Amino acid sequence: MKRAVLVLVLLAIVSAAGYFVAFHMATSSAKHCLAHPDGGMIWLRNAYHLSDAQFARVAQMHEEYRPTCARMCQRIAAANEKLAALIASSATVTPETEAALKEWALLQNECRLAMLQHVYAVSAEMNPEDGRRYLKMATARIIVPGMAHASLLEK
Amino acid sequence: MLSAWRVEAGVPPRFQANVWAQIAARESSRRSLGKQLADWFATEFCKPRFAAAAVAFSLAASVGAAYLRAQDSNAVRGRQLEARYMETINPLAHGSHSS
Repeated sequence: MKRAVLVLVLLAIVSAAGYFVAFHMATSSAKHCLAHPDGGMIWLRNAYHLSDAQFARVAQMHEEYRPTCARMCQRIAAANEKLAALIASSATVTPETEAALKEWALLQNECRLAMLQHVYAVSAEMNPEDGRRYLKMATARIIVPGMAHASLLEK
Repeated sequence: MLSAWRVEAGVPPRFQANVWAQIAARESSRRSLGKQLADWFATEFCKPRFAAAAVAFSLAASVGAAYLRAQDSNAVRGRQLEARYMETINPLAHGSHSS
């Protein structure tokens, strides 16, 4: 009986060890990506099967796009603050508020356009199927998710 | 011939004792099923062929369960990484955060 219990204990230890080792091995890549400062780019490479050459071009595009993105980010933050201040300072829509709102909308549009151009350029570097997948994922986040015109009319 | 025929209704010798013996044997076998299992566990389970098979089976099951759980975990991390990548190319996300 003692030996049988020993076998049972061994069984439990081997199973637990097997579980933890397999889980660690299967998740280490994603954990590493998440901990890395450039985890997003590493994810892009893995998720869209980029070759070394493809990844080098995409990374270069990303670096070139980064300053544009940062400038736009600052402009959007400034436009948001200006609009918020104007809205808070008046009880009605003033010509200044209207102008700031138009400027804000134009800026948003400009940002979406720049982002869309970048996304198209990146997808063109990928294999056709991966490029299609990437475009679908990225454009779904650029355009505010909503219903099609027909389904809105039905409601 | 019919008038000469007689029915012999007697039971075989020790009939009742045999019946009771069979009932007792069945009950005793039922009661000792747990004990039989315990005996098998103590004697057979620790034999190398059973022990090795049990270890192999349980290792395969635990590794399979780990991979299934890892798939869910990786899917969640994948969505987090996707969102992180999109944030790096989306000025609207940064602009909204900083305001």
